Amino acid sequence: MKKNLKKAAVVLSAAGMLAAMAGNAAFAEEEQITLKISHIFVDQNDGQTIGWYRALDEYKEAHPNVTIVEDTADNDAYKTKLKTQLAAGDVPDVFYAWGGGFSSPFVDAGIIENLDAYVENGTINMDAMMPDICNNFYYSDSLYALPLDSFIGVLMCNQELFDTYSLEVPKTMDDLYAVSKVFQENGITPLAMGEKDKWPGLFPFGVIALRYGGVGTTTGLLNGEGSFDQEFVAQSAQELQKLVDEGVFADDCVALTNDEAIEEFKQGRAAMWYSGNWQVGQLSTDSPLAGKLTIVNWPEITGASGDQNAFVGGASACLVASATSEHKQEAIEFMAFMSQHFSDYAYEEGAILPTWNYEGDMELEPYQETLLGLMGGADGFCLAWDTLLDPETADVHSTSLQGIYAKQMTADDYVAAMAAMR
Amino acid sequence: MNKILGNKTAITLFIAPSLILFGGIIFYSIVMSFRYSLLDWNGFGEGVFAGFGNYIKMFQDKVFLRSAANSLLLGVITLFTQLPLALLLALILTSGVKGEGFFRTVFFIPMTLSSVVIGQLWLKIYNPNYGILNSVLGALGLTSLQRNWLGDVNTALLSAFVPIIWQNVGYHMLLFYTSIKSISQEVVEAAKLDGATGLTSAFYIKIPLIKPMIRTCAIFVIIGSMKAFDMIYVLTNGGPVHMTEVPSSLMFSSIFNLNKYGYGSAISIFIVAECILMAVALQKLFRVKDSAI
Repeated sequence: MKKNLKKAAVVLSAAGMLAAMAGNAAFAEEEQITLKISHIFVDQNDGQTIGWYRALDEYKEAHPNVTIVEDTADNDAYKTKLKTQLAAGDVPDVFYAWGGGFSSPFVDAGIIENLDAYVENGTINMDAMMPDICNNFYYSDSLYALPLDSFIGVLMCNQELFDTYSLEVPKTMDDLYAVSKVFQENGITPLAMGEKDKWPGLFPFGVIALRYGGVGTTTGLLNGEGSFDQEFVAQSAQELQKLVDEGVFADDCVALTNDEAIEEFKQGRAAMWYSGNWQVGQLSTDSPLAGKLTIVNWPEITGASGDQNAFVGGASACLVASATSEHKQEAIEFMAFMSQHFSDYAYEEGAILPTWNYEGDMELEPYQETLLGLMGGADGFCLAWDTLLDPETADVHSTSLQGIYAKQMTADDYVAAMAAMR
Repeated sequence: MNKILGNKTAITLFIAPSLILFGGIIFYSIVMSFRYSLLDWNGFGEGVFAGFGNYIKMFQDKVFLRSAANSLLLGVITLFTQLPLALLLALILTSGVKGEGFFRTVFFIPMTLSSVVIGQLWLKIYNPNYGILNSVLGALGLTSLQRNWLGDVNTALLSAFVPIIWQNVGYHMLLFYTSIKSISQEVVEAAKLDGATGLTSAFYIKIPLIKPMIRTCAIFVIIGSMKAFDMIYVLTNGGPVHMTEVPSSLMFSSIFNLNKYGYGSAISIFIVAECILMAVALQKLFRVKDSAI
């Protein structure tokens, strides 16, 4: 028996070698190349990861002459690793990055490739993309990155809790303050917030700034126009301080991480949560909140002169290519392929909002219909401030806001700190 | 044997591996960091030479000064709580209590866990909603003492120090324990015959005899505090509002969050210099004390 098995193994491996040789012969004319790719898709259960690998497998099948070498790390570790790697001059051919302030030093240092020529020669088909989706990837009017996902900030409400206390989902800030009072009296945190991580707290501020200042003014300010000592900035900071003072967030919000805050919301200890739509799919299908979630935009501010139906959001996560790659054309083709197919597949997984025109025939889940509906009627979008600002100003912004959440700083302190930067 | 030890080639050969490792990995990095610290550099492309600009900026930076003060405070607190506690435990364990081996292992367990695990454990202890600390305070009717330990700027720093101190008590206890155990039994017996038991024996026989170990531990503790990082990173990440920042955490965020490589390198050079100075100063201090006796 053993002998037979051995024989079989030998025959099989020989056959395998022959097949492999035949396969190589077929593509002998094509040059074998290797592309080094760095990205953050590590969580195998995440819809984005599933979408990424569906696209990658398809690419590999279509390009047998290209060997893809992946280097991955989780989000925060990735940022640290990437910066160390780039500082040492070891640039992957294609890598995951973020638009706005994150990639601007790469552009200045000439690390990443200007994509204008590839748009011109048709390697990148801008017409197949959602309109204006690349807004955050232009530096001095040149395109440097292709989008991976886009998101919008939404207010997620636990409808069951609202029904229990006969409350309506808030439409205006006054409503928000009113329902918060009722929730507080019943020992429920009105709005979950994990401000230990700093970035979650930028979302409410970001959307309030859009309510007071509007998309155009805010985007202009973040892209370097004028000083932060402006009325709408002060008004937004005051509104945030009021939210904190009125107890809309838990007193301990600066001690909780974002993950812990989500848990508060999932377990019904908090009635609302405001964040990007990344978790909406998972929350509405596979969590204790499935079927109880009402998704709306952040409430309007009566009398404020900005855009009352604008969203925090847009495209930030992106792919960029090395300016020193040995196989630039292939790298850009890979990037365009992945950007487009990731958009389709991760969207089908319910993990993102599409960045390219979706041409698949998937049936949409109700929450996806809701999100698309919200996006359709929007006044405009603007990313959270830390994404667009340079790292140093972004740090002052997020640390000062953390000060407001921790009741250690006032709105005036915030404005003074920001005005000192510009 | 003497022949080999006198042979220069042999000496070079034996020293070479560690010298190369030390020189290549540690010394080279420090020299490079010093070079970077003189640059105004965002980590990509070319840096601009800025002389000692980063160092001047550093000593004018309120956040940095607070971080340095925090690490000094940690050093002092650790020195005066952790070491006495470790010594006390070691003395009790060596005085022949029941279950010596068991307690020795128990006290040492925190040391075997990774800092991240301990950090997570203490995060749960401090959690304002379901943490054991607030629950116990509540059960005792001390609700006025309940607070958001790591989120409140008044308590965050001390709350972050407690796990750091707690974690290493076992380590120092073990060092003290072994050196007390290595005191010759004859000395202890002789003291016993002269009537020195319990406290007298501890204060006049054991503690004086393990002085070198106490010295070593004091240096470990101070240096360890200067470069504290992991626990702070897990517990508070320097927040809220930079209240719990230590030089290492500030260095990390300067380089990796703010793209200020030059400035971060200057902080790292400060940490190296501070540690060396402290070690030298402490050794000098102990020597002066010794000669005084």
